Amino acid sequence: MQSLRLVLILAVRSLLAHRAKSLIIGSLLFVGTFVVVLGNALLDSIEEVMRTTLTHSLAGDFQLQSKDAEDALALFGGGGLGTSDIGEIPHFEQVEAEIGKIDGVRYLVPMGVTNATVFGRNEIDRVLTELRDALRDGDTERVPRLVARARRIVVDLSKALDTAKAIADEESYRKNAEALTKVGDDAFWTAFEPGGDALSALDFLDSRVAPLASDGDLYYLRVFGTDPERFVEAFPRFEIKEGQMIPPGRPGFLFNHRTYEKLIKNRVARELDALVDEADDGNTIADDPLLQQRVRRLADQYRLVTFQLEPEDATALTSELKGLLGQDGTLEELVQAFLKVDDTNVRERTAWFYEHMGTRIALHVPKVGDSVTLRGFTQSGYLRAVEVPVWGTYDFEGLEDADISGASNLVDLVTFRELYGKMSDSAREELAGIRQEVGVKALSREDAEAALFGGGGDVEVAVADQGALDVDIGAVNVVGPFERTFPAEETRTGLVLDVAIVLEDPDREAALRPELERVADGLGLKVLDWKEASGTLGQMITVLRITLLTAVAIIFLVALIIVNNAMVMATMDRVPEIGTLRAIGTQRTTVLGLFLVETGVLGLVAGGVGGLAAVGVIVWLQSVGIPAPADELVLLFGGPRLFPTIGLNDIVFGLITITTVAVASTLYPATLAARVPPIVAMRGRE
Amino acid sequence: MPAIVEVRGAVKDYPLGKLKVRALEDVSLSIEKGEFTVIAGPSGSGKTTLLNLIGCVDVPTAGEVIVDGQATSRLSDRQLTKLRLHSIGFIFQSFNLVNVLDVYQNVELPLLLQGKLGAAERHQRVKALIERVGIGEHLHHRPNELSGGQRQRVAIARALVTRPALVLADEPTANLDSVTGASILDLMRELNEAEQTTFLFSTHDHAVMQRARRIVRMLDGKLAES
Amino acid sequence: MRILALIAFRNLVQARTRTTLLGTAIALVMAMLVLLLSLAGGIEDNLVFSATMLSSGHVTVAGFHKSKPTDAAPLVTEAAALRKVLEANTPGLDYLVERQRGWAKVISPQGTVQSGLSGIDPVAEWRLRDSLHLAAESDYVDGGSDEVRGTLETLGQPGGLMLFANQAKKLHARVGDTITIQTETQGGQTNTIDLQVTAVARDVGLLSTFATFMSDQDVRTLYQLNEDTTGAFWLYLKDIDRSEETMNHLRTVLEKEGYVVMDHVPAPFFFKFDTVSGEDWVGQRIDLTTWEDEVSFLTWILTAFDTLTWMMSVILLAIIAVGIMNALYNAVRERTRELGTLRAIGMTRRQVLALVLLEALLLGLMATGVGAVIGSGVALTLDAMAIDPGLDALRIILLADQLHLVVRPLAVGSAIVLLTLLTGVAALWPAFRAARLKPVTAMQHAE
Repeated sequence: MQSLRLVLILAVRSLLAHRAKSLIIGSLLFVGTFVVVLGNALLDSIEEVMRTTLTHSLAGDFQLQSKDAEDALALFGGGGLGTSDIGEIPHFEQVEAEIGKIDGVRYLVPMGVTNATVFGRNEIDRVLTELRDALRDGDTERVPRLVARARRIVVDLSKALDTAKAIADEESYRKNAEALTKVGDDAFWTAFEPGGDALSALDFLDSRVAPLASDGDLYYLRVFGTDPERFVEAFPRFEIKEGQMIPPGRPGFLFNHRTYEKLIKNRVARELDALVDEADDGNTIADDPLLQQRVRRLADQYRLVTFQLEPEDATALTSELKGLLGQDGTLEELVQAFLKVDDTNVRERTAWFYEHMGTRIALHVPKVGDSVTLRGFTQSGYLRAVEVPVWGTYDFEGLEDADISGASNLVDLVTFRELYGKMSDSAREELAGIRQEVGVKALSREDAEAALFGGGGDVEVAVADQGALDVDIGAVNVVGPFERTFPAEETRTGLVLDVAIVLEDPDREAALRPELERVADGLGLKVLDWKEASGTLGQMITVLRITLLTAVAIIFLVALIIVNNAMVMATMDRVPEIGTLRAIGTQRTTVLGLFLVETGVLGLVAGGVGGLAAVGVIVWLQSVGIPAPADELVLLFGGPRLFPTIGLNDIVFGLITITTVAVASTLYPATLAARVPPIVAMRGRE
Repeated sequence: MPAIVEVRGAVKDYPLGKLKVRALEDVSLSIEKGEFTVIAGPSGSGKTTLLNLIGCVDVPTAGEVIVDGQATSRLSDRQLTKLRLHSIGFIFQSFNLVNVLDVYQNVELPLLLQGKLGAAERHQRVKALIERVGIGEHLHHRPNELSGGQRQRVAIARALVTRPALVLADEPTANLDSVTGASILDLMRELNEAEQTTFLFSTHDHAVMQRARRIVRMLDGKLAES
Repeated sequence: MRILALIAFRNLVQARTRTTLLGTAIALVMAMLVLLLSLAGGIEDNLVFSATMLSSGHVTVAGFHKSKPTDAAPLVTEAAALRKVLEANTPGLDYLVERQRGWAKVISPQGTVQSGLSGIDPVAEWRLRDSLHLAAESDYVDGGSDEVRGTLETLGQPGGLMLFANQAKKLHARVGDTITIQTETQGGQTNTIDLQVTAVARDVGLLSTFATFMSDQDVRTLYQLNEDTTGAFWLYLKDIDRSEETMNHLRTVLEKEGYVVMDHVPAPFFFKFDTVSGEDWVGQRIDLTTWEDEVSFLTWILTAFDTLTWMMSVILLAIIAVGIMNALYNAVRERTRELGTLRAIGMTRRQVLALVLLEALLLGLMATGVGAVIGSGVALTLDAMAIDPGLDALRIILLADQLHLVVRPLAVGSAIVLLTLLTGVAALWPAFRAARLKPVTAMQHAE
């Protein structure tokens, strides 16, 4: 004990005596600890933040998936596009009964995921739907107005046909020209006069003319089917941004708010929003050529404002713009001038836009309150289309800007099953029949729908009327889809693709897993934790950790060599001193110990300071947050900013590593020192 | 004969902690070309200090040292270095050879630094000088392969290779046994006579003093007798 | 100077242990740097390879055709005339090909994938057959044989289809199977065509998850396009580095020829639908891009990798610098008397400075040389081993299904220079200390 104290005193003394050396080695150990502790803390924070965001949003603590699944579940997307076969769980109620029994399981959320497409605005569809309604209602005042609008579109189409000739093949050009010639004739339109065959004329317009007039956008959406009630309970970060939650027992669709704002929204509005964001970030148009280009392109988009204005709105807006801009011109010119924003007026103009233009045009198509037709392909390539009302938009708190979660839209489970389409044998035969027709096949919308709904699959079809693809814009009469109901228990029984498990206590994750696995195995299911279930996103964490560990290992290896070198040199300097120690009777082992204790102490001190510095940085970052450099990283950061935390384990790990490295790097010089013979003390200098 | 070294009222103080120690006090001395002079005195008498001032490796606190016609107090470090390179040769008590260079390279070094001579002439001069100091067979040995006397011979060759006006030797025999020391002294004496090179020694070795033509004695930083 | 270099070198040899340790550290860092650079080079290589095979030529001349203001068809009309202009006016043109482009659902009885369609002219695109490699059946069929089926010889013949292994796996498709291609036009019109799988190629990274090859005729038929309409001209230059220059040149040429050329937006064509469909014009406009523009959505990978390399380098170089400083500081202290002697016998301060710096630079040069050799060796070995990274996330980052490293002599050379210079910089402080040594220290006897 006595000698240990002595060794300790000697060690500290000689550390102080060789200040320069201590400082150099100390600073290396400091940097090492700093990097390890900081890197680990940041990574742990990211992992923890991701864990809470994912477990509180889509993933839950665990996910269940069929053991027979072809592909592993990847809630946030796998490597590529396309559908992956994540298998099926035929009876959710069984899962609920068995797994729900396990102590510690709080919620089981039935889920499914698929891809679907949605059409945006389509002027002719809108007109034709209204026309159909007006005809049905016998509204003699509206019919002529709508017919006039339809004819205006047809005139435009005839013009476009000439241009289209440049790309189209002869056959399709001939057919289209034929159709347009027919509807270009006044005789065709007499059908809409009282007594005419309005419905067959409408059918012709629908089937032959409407496809030519397509001006809508096609959106590819990722759709999660679930039990809305359960979803809200289980995932606390869920919040409705616009509209309302899908009511129980009703079919319904919720846009992810980001999708709604960044994809569905009118492009002019989106760009103005983006320019305001840039201004908020302190980027000025005057200094940024890319922003200047954006403004120029924004002005080119004036048509997105003007084309859908009603004539009276157009007149009103023209005079308002004249007043605002203090210049004369056509509406198109004025809107263009208006959209050429600069740093001084971008906020003002955006506000003006929403007040004067946003109220007159449809900002979102489709919007909350509309019903949309989701089109998806079943696993076997069978086209499915389902009309479903949009009840609102939602997001996950803190993930408003996350790119990937932006792709997750919600639909009730009944509608999901319809979209996902469980293939019946008869449907399969039918598809085979379709495929047998050789070569190209233009499926009109009726054909598509006939193929879809005529087959009579085993799933109850939620909607099937001729207007399934039509979208009502601003219409009050959204009678059908919003009022349809189904027994609420249907969302808690039957087919699901995966199940999210939310635990009472998330920290018991590891403890509960074996039990879950045992029960799940009996049901033919496998258990994935949130990381495994999140696909490549979860793997990114693993990749980051491997990268950090490799980096740290290399840094330490290099530092070890450098410290070793510095220690060898320091030992050479101290040969006479060591000789004297040996001469007065110090054991070899004590000399060895002296050196090891010396760097051990240095490692603890420098490591402690490095750890403290890392804590300091983390505490500072905690108050300011690290901004996510790109929207792709928002999910990793659990929000627009990462507020990292540091745990004692990070520091302890750092200290242990650094002290080990320090001691390891002293082993060689310490043995050198221990080998110094006592005689050198007698030799004096040289 | 013109004076190669002229020391006028040189004073040198060294700081020692907070104190100032006067190592040299008002020393005036003149050394003429071709002299073989010894500065003698006990340890701490200031002989090395005086030699440092004359060798332009140190400058006086007050007074003036004129070497080869140049007043050193007005010279920059660059000029002092040039003066040392061209006009002064050094022989050190512990030889101070460059350990990683062999005998030939050590001797050649000052010529390379001067950069005046062509390769052939340089080679000839170095070779001749090494033969002259009697270590011709050790041309390519490293200093640590040589005895003390042999090393000092290399040092002498290095000091003389530039044909300096003045050669300074700080206790050149202190680290040598008496027989070797004597032979080294004989060598220097021979060179002095043959080449008319001026030699200035510091020493407290009587054997050395005996061979000097002139002895300057120092005590406590002052000239005692010249 | 030679004598200084000799002294410096011999000093290094003298202090063998120190030199070896320090040199090992520097060599290690250098080897690591070379590995990282090779990995980055490999990723870039993969990017260029897959991009110029699957996404674009070195320069892509494409455009949009609008029959009415709301359209945005990624098509080029009067292709034959444009081809002539391009062939006549592209300096350094190696060859050009026409690609029909589409986006479709690829449907088999057991699965669906989304994929881009590349319609190719089998005669013009013979080079493609050399770049692609057939996959063994076991790559895409569970328990399939290691045999390679199908042939690339018929690539681009009407009625045929080439899938990549990852797609074939998802589709459960084998060579000889019939696959339905279904496009959805914006109006909801659905066109389909049935094709037979004639080949399944080995994957070439992320981009091959959405690329499928078929005949240009079939794509035209699918989209009901006439003979003189094409998707894009892909121009391959003799020197890929001149892509941007050539693109700018072609812009002026095409404008002079009377084509309306769109503003240059460095993004792939499918990012532009949204903007183009909102613009108020009809007819044809030409869009020029480089291959980098067409894969700009992937460059974050390179940026991330460069950042990592940069951060690692800074930390490691800082450690190395401290080590060098410490070692040379000690060396200078040990050799105080020798350096003083050199000053005394007439070495200038600058020469002493140079002496110490030379020592560091020599050490740096030798160590980085060794490190470069080791690093390159490891990189080449790893490359030859063609390791499967195992994780999808890594496959995405590496842009390939196998670890690919490319040792670029220029990059290695610059790393050597950089690291050696850094050793020099780290040596400055001890070197200045050495230069400041007074010649009088030569007179001090052993310490």
